[in-house]
Amino acid sequence: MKLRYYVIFRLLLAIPTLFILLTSVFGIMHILPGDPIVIMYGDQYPTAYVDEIRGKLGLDRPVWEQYLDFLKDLSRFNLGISMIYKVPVIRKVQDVFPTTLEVALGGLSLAVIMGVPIGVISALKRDSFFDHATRLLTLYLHSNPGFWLALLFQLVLGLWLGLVPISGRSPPGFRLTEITGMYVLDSILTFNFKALGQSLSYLFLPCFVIGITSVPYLSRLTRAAMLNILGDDYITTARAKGLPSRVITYKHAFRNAMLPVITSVGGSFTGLLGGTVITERIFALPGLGSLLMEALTSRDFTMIQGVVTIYALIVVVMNTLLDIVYALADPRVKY
Amino acid sequence: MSLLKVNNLKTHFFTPFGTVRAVDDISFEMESSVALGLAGESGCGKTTAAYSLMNLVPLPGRIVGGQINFKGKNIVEYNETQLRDIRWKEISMVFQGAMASLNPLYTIGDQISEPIIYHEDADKKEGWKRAEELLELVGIEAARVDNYPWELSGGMRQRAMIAMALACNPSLLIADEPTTALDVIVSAQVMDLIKNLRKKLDLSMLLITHDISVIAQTCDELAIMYAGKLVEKTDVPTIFKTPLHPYSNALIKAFPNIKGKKKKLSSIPGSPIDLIAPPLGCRFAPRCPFAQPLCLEDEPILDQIEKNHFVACHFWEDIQSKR
Amino acid sequence: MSGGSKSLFRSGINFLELFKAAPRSAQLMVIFGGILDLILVIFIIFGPNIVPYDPLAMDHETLLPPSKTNFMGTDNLGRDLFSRLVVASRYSLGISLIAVGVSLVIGLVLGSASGFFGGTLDRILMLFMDALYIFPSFIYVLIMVVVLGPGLWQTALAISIGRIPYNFRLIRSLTISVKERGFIEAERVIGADNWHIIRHHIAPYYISILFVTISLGMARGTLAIAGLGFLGLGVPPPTPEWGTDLASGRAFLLSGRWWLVVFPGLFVLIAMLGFNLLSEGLDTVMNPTVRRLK
Repeated sequence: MKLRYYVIFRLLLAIPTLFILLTSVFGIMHILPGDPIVIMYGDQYPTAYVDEIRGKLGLDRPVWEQYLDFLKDLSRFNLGISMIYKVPVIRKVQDVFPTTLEVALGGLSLAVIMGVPIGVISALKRDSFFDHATRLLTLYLHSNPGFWLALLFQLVLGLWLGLVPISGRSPPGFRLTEITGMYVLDSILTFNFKALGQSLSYLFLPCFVIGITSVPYLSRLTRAAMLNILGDDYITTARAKGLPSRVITYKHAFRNAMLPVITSVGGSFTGLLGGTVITERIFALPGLGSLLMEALTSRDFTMIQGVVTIYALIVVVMNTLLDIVYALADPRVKY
Repeated sequence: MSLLKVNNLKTHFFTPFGTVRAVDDISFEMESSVALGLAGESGCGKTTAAYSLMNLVPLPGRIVGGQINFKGKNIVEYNETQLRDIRWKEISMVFQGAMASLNPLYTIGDQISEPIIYHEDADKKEGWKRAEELLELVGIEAARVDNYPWELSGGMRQRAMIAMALACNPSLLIADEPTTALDVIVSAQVMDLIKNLRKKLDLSMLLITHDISVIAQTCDELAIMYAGKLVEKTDVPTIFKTPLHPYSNALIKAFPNIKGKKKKLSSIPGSPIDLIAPPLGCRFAPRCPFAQPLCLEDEPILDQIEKNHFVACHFWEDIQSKR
Repeated sequence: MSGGSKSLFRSGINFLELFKAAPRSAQLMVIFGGILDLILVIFIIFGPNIVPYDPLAMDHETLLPPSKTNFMGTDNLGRDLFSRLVVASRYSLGISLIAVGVSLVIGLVLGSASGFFGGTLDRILMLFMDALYIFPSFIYVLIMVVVLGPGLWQTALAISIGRIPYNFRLIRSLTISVKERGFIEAERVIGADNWHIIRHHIAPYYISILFVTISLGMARGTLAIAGLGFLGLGVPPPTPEWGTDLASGRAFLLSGRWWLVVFPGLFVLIAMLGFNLLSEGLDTVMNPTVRRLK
């Protein structure tokens, strides 16, 4: 009942956030000192050609005019035409978007599945061998560069042990009717279990690596939250009631600790999403990250702008969803 | 057989600064249907004593000696399973700060019915029905059973805590400073409620507080603690008329009498002692106006001078005759 | 990371006392991290002088595994990997340092202004920074590096901009918590002048957070630079850089030349460990909390 209002409120709040992000995207591309076109093309092409490009992109018009056009186009889902591919940007984005989404969500899920229980157990068994061991491990993982770990895993698990495929999304001869573009989801929806198994095996390594790099942050946060809450008075009340310890730990302690954990999942996702650019390169996954890299190296101005807009959209949607989940979990959120 | 017989209870806290001897050998007895008030200054050990009764002393504290005989059984020796059995069912507690002692994520109906469901194997419906009855018993409308703790006022929260404590019909109710966090008017309402409940349910109660006027209104007996030791225990009328221990006397005289003559407020000079390294003799001696050399060397034991009057002082007779 | 409110840090207690009072694990972290950082500093300052070979010289046989002559092997152009990686510290860490400095200064100015003055300025800045904060900073950095063009300063600037929202938030919340402490008013009442208040009561909180923020920033910066290098957007060849060398080594991974991938990454790991250990240890040492008093 009242939740509906909060959802609406939160969705409305997402709009200015998205707005600001998009404006800063625009700003980065246009307002920075130094003509972006000159920087990107100046040293390669004669001035006349550079001017022509600028005209074609409409970059010689006053900035505010460009900005308004940018917003107008966005509202019509028009992200412009790719300079290199000569097709609408949105078409290219549609092709690659599900891959990134699948990898990012898969990685996030693994991170939560691995990180949160570790944090809970560390808190319950404070100062035990498990606690110290995991703290050392997470300290190490935290410092370990993710892409290095990915390469090492590729080497060991993929090449030397041959346990998992090391790149791509699917083996040759892969058959699947695509609905959303996310292989795992589509194979479940079409009851294609062979495809499910195959796509999962290809997804495993990238998601595992992404997940494991987020584990230190999540597990430390969960541990800290649990320890904090285990010292609270209502836990003493629960113990005084003679409740079984399982109930005290999960119904009372963890349920409260879950709140900061939900918030931190948002933070993890942000970092994770940034990391997908490198992960996609390492595992040869055709996602948004690789599209972005292509656009960056070929100086495809409109494509860069378009892809970053999509990233902004993903981030804002994710944060909105998480806030709504938080409101569901915490009855104190007022709406 | 008395309801509660505590023998030489010792509860110490093992901190990096040293061992704090919060409760250092106290003994007392309590019958059923009696309301015993446990009073003393902040830090005298009364709250620790209360928590010890339920074996809920927080780390780094631990019961290190003595017996707590509840209905004949020494519960100090109980394991976790046995303790869980008697907690709330036999002994329950109303905590100090109701806001912090209630889980903000669950309704009060959930929290009141929770022990009923677990201890009495009841189902959710029965539990919630009982929760509603309990709320009415403490003067809260039954519809509030769906409210969260933060949706209630301070006084209502405290009353909800009382309802929760009564959920499993305990034999002994411990109330830890039930009115400290409340303003005077609400505090009076809560104390009235407690009085009525006691009469109605024939409840045995241990009331912990530093405010002895509250004890005067609601309790049958009063035990006074100082620096981890019990200094005097007797029934309420006696102690207010003739407090024997110098500390009891000072404590009672410190509370201004609203009806009596206007006097200068009296206080007890000095400050509480260090519980890590307590002095050898009587712990009150440094602050006692009647202290003799013997008091600083020899610790007085709790003497039973009448059927229900215990004092721990070397010179109580002399002091009394001089008054 | 604890900031002001739970800290017992008082101006006047010096670092040595705090260190001695800290738990063993924190002491070890500071020592170990400090040693690693010291090694890195030596690499940065004396790098070219202490390496056995010229990092750019293609004097050796190509693709040699680690041996007594080439401690970490050689790359595909016949350059000694160890020499390259040691000298690469300059770029990776140097750029990071500049980036941390710039973002710290900007974050300090904006964050303390926002926290101290509050009002509309605060609201506008918060709205702006919150939006930026939720966006993956690495992607900002990528765009900025391309838009700003190649070069050391440009890269540093790009990375520093990516860090600003985080620093802003940190300083802002610190400023607010310091502002709300009663003792500021109490000091004014007894007539202390502003400079005295700042020096003795406000600055200590900022200083305690400063070292930790710098360490952490260095760690994140180094990782970002290595990431850029890996993607081919770092310093242009033949300059040695951990990320770039890792990327070029990757091509040879399948043929079993593991050292071209393992060692560059190892250097990044050591740098990160050094900074993370130091920052965590320092955080615990400088912000002792009273444990478990309930």
